[in-house]
Amino acid sequence: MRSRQVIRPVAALVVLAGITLAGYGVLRATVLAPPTQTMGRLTGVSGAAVVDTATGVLDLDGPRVVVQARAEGGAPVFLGIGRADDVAAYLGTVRRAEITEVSGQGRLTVTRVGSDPGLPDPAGADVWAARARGTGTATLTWPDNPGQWRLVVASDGSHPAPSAIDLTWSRAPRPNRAPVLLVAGSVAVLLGGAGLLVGGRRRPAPAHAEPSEAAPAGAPEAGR
Amino acid sequence: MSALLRRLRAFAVVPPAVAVLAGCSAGGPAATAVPVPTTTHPVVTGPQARTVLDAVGAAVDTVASGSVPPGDSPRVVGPVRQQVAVQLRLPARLRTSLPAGQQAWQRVLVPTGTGWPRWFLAVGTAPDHPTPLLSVLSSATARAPYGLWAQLTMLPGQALPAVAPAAEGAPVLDGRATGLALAPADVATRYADLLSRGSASPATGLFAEDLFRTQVRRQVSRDRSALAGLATVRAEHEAVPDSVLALRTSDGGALVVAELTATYLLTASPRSKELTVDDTLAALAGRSDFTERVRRTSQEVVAFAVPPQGTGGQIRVVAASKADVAVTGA
Repeated sequence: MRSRQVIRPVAALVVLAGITLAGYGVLRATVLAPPTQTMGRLTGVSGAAVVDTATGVLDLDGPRVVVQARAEGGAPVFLGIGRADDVAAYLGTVRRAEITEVSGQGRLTVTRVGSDPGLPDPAGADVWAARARGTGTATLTWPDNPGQWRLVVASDGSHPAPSAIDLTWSRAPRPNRAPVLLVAGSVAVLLGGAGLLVGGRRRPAPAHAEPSEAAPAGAPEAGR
Repeated sequence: MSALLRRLRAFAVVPPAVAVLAGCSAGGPAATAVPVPTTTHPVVTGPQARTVLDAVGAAVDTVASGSVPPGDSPRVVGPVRQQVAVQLRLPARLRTSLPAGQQAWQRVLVPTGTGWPRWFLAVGTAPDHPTPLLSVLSSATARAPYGLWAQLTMLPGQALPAVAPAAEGAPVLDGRATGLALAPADVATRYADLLSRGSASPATGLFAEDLFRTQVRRQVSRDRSALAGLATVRAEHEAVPDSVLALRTSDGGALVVAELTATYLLTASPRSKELTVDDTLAALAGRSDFTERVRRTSQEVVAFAVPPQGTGGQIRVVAASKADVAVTGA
């Protein structure tokens, strides 16, 4: 009798936990699914001939980063990615806006460095492991090669740097725990449900049982 | 906690040189990157080398066609720039030493390094060239593009020694590097002496026989025979200081490229009335007849396979080029 009293509330708790787990699994598979991309945006870069990234920025948040830059008035856009020390030697002390941070609001934060006025057309140099050129806009996809790399965003040496730059990191897909949560929750619900059924079933009265003193009048007497 | 934040925290403890701060603020992740120390790496990646070779090949073709003066093209540098400038002064039928531009590239030999000047080598084939060509690409500064510095012809039967894969890069050796049959700088000076003095040079046993040396010495012998009593023939070869490029080969030896200057001096004897040179030399000199002397200056670039010290092997000449750059006289 006592074990039946224990089984029912425990089974109810198991069912409740199962429903919770399964519900959380559904949320993890949908609205709470981990994002696969992070984007940082820089707008309104004024006056800089060059925008570059500090070492480490390109691989901050994923094995792949897509760079897109837009220039006003259809000006030429150059995007180049080179080894960090090659780019440092190339830039020297040129005045530039260096991207050092991705803020919590998805903005790319820059630091102004250097003092030399400008650079010749960066397309004339060979320090770029990957490069892209365009008119008004250009896009470059970088697959995070081993080593340290930096990005240079510029025009053709005669125009200022593009005014808007987006960096979009794509993370490698990671295992989502949602299926595990759903399965575990479902199993718990089934087990809890079974427990409730077992705990809630009335035991049949034994054939030799004596009537109790509290039996109501008119009740049939056993053994007669 | 966001995935970005987790990754950045891992970043902060794994490479000590990378200090990354991360935090969650309203709206998303935040991250800061700080520079890490420089590490040695191949001077170009594979795709980078192909881009450079295509650009250099196109520029060389343009310059060789006469469309752009060699001095105006940053893709034509070093000895090649002077050679092309001299060739373009010749009538078209005499331009026999113009470099090949676009080629079918077969192999790239890439040194490691972080500074400038820097260089790498490429082997390719081109129409009208029976054996592969070894191109030397050089960049003087980070803002200067690679240009064709020299283009050598692989000697028949010779192959470049194995070096580390381009993706890893081969160590660069300086002119005084040890552990070799001969230091790279000495390879150039000893070979120059061997070209100048032939079998009288003490360097004879250091170098295996090669077609380039055979041709150079044979030409001198022929001219001496033909001009006997009319003129004296003197041929001298000197290594150009600081021109030596060397990288470590897989067997512990070295691949060495060096520039030499050859001076060929004809001095007329008292009974000689006139020295007449061929069309090419006449075009370079602006005259064909000389009464006293003729000085012909050539650039030579030679590539050597140098064995490791103690193996007893001889140094092999694997590729070479020679081009006249000046003819003067009186």
